[in-house]
Amino acid sequence: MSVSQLFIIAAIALLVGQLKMGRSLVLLGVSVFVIYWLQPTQEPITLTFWLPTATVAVTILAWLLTSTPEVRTWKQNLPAAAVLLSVIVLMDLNRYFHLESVFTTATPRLQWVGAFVVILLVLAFLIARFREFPPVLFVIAVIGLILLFILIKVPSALSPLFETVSAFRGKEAGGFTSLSWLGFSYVSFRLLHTILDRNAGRLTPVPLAEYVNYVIFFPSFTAGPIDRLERFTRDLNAPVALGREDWIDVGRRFFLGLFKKFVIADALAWIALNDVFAEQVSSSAWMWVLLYSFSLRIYFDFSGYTDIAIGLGRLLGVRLPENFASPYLKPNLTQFWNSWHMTLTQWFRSYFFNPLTRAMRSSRQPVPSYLTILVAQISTMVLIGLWHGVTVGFVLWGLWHGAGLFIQNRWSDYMKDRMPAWANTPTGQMVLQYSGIFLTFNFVSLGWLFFTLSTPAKVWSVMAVLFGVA
Amino acid sequence: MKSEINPVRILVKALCLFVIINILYALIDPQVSQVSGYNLVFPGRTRLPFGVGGDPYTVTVDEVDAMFASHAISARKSAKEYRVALLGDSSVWGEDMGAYEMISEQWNALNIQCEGKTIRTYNLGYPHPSVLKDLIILDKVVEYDPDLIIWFVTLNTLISQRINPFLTANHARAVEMVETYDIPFTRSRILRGYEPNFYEKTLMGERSNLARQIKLQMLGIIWTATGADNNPLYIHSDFPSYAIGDDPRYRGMQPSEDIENMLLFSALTAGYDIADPTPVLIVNEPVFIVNAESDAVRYNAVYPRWAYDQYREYIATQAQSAGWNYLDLWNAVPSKYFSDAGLHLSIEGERLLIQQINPVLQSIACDTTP
Repeated sequence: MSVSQLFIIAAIALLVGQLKMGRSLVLLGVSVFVIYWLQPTQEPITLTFWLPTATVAVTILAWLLTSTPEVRTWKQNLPAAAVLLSVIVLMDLNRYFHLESVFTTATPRLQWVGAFVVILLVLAFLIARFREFPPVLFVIAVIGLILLFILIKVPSALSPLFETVSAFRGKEAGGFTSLSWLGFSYVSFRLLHTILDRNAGRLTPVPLAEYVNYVIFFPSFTAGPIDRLERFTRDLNAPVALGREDWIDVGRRFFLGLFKKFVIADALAWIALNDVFAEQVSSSAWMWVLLYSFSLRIYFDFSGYTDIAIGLGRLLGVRLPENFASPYLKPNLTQFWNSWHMTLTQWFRSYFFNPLTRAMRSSRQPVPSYLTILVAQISTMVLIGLWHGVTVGFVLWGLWHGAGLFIQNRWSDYMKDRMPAWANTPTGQMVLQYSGIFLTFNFVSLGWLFFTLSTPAKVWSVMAVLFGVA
Repeated sequence: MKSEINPVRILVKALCLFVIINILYALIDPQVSQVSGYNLVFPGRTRLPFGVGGDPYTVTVDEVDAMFASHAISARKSAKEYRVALLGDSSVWGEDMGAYEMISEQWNALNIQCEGKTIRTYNLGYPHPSVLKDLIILDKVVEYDPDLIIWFVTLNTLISQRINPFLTANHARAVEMVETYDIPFTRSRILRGYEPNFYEKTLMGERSNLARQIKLQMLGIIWTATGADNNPLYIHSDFPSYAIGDDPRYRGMQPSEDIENMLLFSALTAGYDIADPTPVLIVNEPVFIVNAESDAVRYNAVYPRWAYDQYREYIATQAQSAGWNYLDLWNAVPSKYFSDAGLHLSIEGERLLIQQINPVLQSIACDTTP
């Protein structure tokens, strides 16, 4: 997103937040428009239209699955459905409006969109016939979403599909090399949260407008945070009442976010370690400088976007959860992960780590606690790695952090009763605190090598330079 | 009593402060282009900063003070140094070459000694063919006490009336040169129009320039760490296009036309005047010759024979009558030592060119007869 796009979005948020009536519906229309507007051009070009449309469609289907007949009434949801359909059709009609600066003009013919809406309605009708959904439907939905997620993260898996579709249409398949489905990583995790909670009986169903607003809430659509449905709708349904302090806080978060992202992170991007520099730098000291630049850049970039999202959310009356809490100033890896991309780690804790450790602890065959911790931490971190992309680098990054968390856990456990007396003095505490921060920051920074470099071979060669053994 | 914060008041104060800072910036006009970490924190660059292709790790800064501030020539000259400044266009700058592969660095690698001094060459070429641009750079170079200036020219350099980004960024100097030395640069009136208005002098108006200068300073870290001033991914060593066609026209002119009046020789004369007493060596740079025997129309994709032959004749006559140090090396490098179909030499080609110039360079520097 550019600065000008963010200012336009901020102005829209300011206006929508001031609405006394129909805020939810207007927000819905704006959010759907924004996901089309921000969608990067995707080859084949028609996907630029179909990807945001698919986001809306998948969200509607997930809503049907998580709703109950009480909130699924036509009367209650017709305005939201009308808004959704209107924005989709309007975006499609851009082939006639020719507003290229807003959205692609290479949209499909209206009859294709009509056919798509009919198919969606039929599916919706079929799902809506259930009063109570069989659990297998939730399992199918979860697996389907995960498969879709994997598919977009592995473009090579999609190539055969595109070739088949192109052959069927009698066209050349050329042009498809990668898929950038804007915001789907976040959308899918919000959807999974609602489906899993609904299946567990923990979710209070909400009307269509509230559900779609939650999933594609435009301030947090592209870079999170991942909120929870109940908390989000509570804020959404409350009147927006911003006091003086709130206005100041909104401005502070928004402008601080802009500064972090567009001044600090973008400047650090010029000198942050990458594949090219990895081959050009032979001095250990400079390699550390470039690595630290990457560490700081990724933090300021991501936390800057989060600040902007939180600021804009406040304008709309929604207090989005915090995603960062000074992670690089934490004295150990556990605390780092409790303060880095917090909403994602909380998601994994709720839906993977905790159920897994519970299952292992309560299994008939007793599993030693260290093994439970090892398996749960490594598998959780590998999955978090895979969430970023299905590559060997992200798997290794996950393993690096999983192993780090396990070692730190065991070390803390071991040292609990063995701490020397000096460690409890104020000086000792301070030394431990600062050395912990230093070690954690460097451990995390070394882990970023798997993130930023394209092959493990490059990671090893950079590590060799960093430690002067090249 | 706790004072209450009023967001509207904060907004108004912030706006006032913003306006005041912008006005002050425009009035004070701080010479930020001369503030540089190069030659201080980072080593000076071996050539002027120029963005190559879409490389995000390069930056183009056209303002001549900022360009020189980042260059190694801004470092203090040692008593044992014989300083040679190389002027020219992209062929001197070293398009398609790394920072330590282009002509000045190859020259320096020879470590030529002369009367107890080491000849050290500085690449001050810049990728816009324009003798007016070269003249502005020469005017700046003399501030750095050169012992010799080698000025590479070609037909495109001497005939160009184009207003390139360098000239717009340094329009005041360009206009001054044109007027002081009576150079028939037909678009000087347009250049004068680039005089910034008040808004363009404010922080807001200057933001793009400032951002590029900040980027130039940040890239000092990369320059120091890697010794690379551009991404090797953007360095192309081979251009396969050798198709030259048989169009006899040159810039829309037919073979019957005379180009003499279009050649800006007065800029070369001005260069001599400005450099005086520093000697200047003018080199007609080598051009790619596709097939000298069989092709009767063109030497290459850039030059038809008639235009280039006329140019060679005119510059040779001019050099002789003005008493310039002039070296015509137009065909000194065989075509296989070019990296593309008209202008740029390969690394081996640069080496050959250096061999050709060295005797003359040493004759000037060491006062020996070549």
